[in-house]
Parts: sequence; C-alpha cells; structure tokens
Amino acid sequence: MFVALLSALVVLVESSLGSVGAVRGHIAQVFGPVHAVARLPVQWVEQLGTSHKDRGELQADLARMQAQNALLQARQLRLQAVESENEELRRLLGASRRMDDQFVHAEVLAYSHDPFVQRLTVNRGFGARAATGQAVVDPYGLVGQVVEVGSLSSQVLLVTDASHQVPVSVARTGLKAVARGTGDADRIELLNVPVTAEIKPGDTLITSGLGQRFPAGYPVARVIQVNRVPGRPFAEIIAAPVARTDRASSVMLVYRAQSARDRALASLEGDPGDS
Amino acid sequence: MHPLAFVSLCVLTGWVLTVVPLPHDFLMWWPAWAVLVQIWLALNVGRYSGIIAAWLMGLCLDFLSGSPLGSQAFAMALCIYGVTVFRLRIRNMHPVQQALMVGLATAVFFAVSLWIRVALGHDLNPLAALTSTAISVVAWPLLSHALNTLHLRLMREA
Repeated sequence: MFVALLSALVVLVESSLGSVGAVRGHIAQVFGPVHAVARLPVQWVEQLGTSHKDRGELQADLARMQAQNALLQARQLRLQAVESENEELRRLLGASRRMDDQFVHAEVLAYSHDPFVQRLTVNRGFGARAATGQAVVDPYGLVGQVVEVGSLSSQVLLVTDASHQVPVSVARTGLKAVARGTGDADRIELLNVPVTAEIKPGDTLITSGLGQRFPAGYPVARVIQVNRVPGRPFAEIIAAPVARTDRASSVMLVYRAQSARDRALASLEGDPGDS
Repeated sequence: MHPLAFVSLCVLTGWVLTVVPLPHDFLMWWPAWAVLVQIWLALNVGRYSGIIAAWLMGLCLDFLSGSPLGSQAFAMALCIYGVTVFRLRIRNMHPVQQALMVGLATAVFFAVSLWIRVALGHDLNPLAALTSTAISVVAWPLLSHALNTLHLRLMREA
C-alpha cells in the first residue's frame, strides 16, 4: 500500500510539474557509467572493424568520400546562389528576412532499451546550452526534440515515439497536418487529414514551423501509404521518417536564430514595466 | 564476498544487460534482464531484496529508460511482492514450472507498467511486452543456473 501511494505520488508529481525534467536529467547522470559499460562491446566490435580494414578498403572509402565531398561542394555553391536569389526576392516582396539556424554536433551515447520509449541520449547538456524543446536533426531530417537536459548529456525524444507530435506540411502542396509517432521506428502517421486532401505516396513532409517549436523547412518523413476508406472523413496516412532515428551515431542540436519578432517578444516578456 | 556486494553486482549486471545498445527491432526479443535478476534475488537472497528495494530498483530503471517515473517502480514492486509471497513454492518447482511462474511475474511487471503508461496518455503496442515475456521465460533457466553457480561458489569461498 505504501509503495502504491509512493508510486502514485511520484507519477503525479512528474506529470504535473514540468520542472521535474531538469532534476531528472541531473539524476540520470548517475547512470552514465552503466550506459558506458553497456556500450563497451559495441565499441570493441567497431574498433575491431576499423583496425582490420585493409589498405584497399580505406582507399576506396577515401575515394568515395572525396567524390561525395565534391558533389556536396557543388550543391552548396548552387544552394548559395539559390539562397541569395531567395533573399533578394524576399527583400523585393518586403517579407522579413529568414534567419539561419546554428547547429552543434552531438554524439549519440545510448538508445533507450525500453521497447515502448523511443529516446536517445546525446553528449550535450547545460554546458552546450542545450534546452528542453530544442529540435534535433541529422543530415537527413528531423530526429526529435530535447526533453531532458543534464549537465553532461541530454535525452532526445524521437519523432517516432508514440507520444511525439510535430506540425508538418506537405512540401509539394503546402497542406498542413500533424505527424504523430507510432512507437515503430519506421512509421509515422498523419492525423486528421481529410480524404479529399491532395497527398500521395512519395510526398515529402517538412516541418511547418507552426507552434514555434520546430523551425520550418526540415524534412520529417516521406509518405508511403494513403488509405481513403469510404465513409470515413479522414484518410489513414502512413509515412516513414527520413532521419536515421534508430541508427544514427551522431546528430545536431538546432539553435534557432532569433528573429526581430522573437527579440521584440522576448524584450516584452522581460520588461517589468509591462505587467 | 559479502552478500550485499554480490547483490549489487547482480543488480549492476542486470542493468548493463538491459541497456546494451540494440536496434529497435531487436528490443522486443531482448529479455527483461533487470526484472529476471530481481526475481532471482527475491527467490534466493530474499533478505536483501524486499518490496522497497524492488521499488527503488524499478525507479532506477525508470531513470535508465526514460519512462514515466514510478511506472516501472510500482510494476517491479508488485511483481516482487507476488514472487515473495510464493517464494518457497516457486523455489521447489520443476525448472520448467519455475520458468513459467517467472514468465507470469514478468507479465505482471509489463502489464502494470503498460497500464500506468496508457493511463498517462501513452499509445503503446503490447506486442513487444508479450515477446519480451516469452523470451524471458526461455532465458530464465540460463540466468538462474549461472547465478546459482556463481552464488554457491562465492558463498563457499566466503
């Protein structure tokens, strides 16, 4: 009975007080050595793999990376031209200037072992100015968001977690929707999309920026199945995440550039004379 | 070796086995090592593995896995309570029967843990719990034999 009451108290305190997340992040640091020991066999296997690569394999890897680098540089040049053209068009239209996000690289320390929780631990904490709600991406797209921050590491809730939702838009048509994780590492579902909506398999879903949580424009998933059941108002839409949510070894924390509007809002909130 | 040191070593081993990095698709085929170790301790070293200790171990699992605090703690306490009540009966059972009883205890752990999470608004697939329970039944004789052997050897040395 005592244990039941204690458990209920803990559950209630955690679910009602948001500030418990920070405390939890600090306490979770104690279990860092357990994760480190558990990762040892994986590291040994990886080291064994790298130390036994022969010269030919390494040269092939180098050649492949050089080719990839050249391709990326060419794409970057093109992107810069498009970016400047975009800026110019926005200026002509009188629209506000889009700010560039900043990224900080983080290594993945551990994945959650719990089959019902889709989380990972990264090696950035308060020291790297990581914050709850911060978006996390990899080279392919949105990975998730930071939900707990410790002094040396942070917990990231993946987009595929059943409790995670992200506002998205279809890149092709601009259709707005909410993508929810399913608990499966390779499935995301779209909520409340009308059967008449213009969406088809192969469409890319990107963050819409609505809700101000995730910056706009990051790829989230690719639609793989659209079921329009007669008599039902909403279509069943299944998408596959584009980020390597279950096997990424490194990710990037996104630091959003503060726009003039954000700065103005922050100054209003911080102004004591306002209240 | 002091029994408390042995218990700590067992618990740590259970945690490490639990958090071994695995692809998500394999997680449902991975036994609930921490629960199995806790059940073994309740059956064989009952003096150092009571309900409160089980609750604390479950709370540590909540921290380790990022699940809602208290969910696995309560589930673990309830599971170990059941094992403690039928401790003598389970200990004297045939290994197959014992494995099935351990499976039942593991199922209770998952059921309670899932129930709390669903009550908190999580949408979960119970299939993972079923497969993990089944694998735990298979893994129990191996773990039990390994820990029994180690326990006897260490106690004899002490």
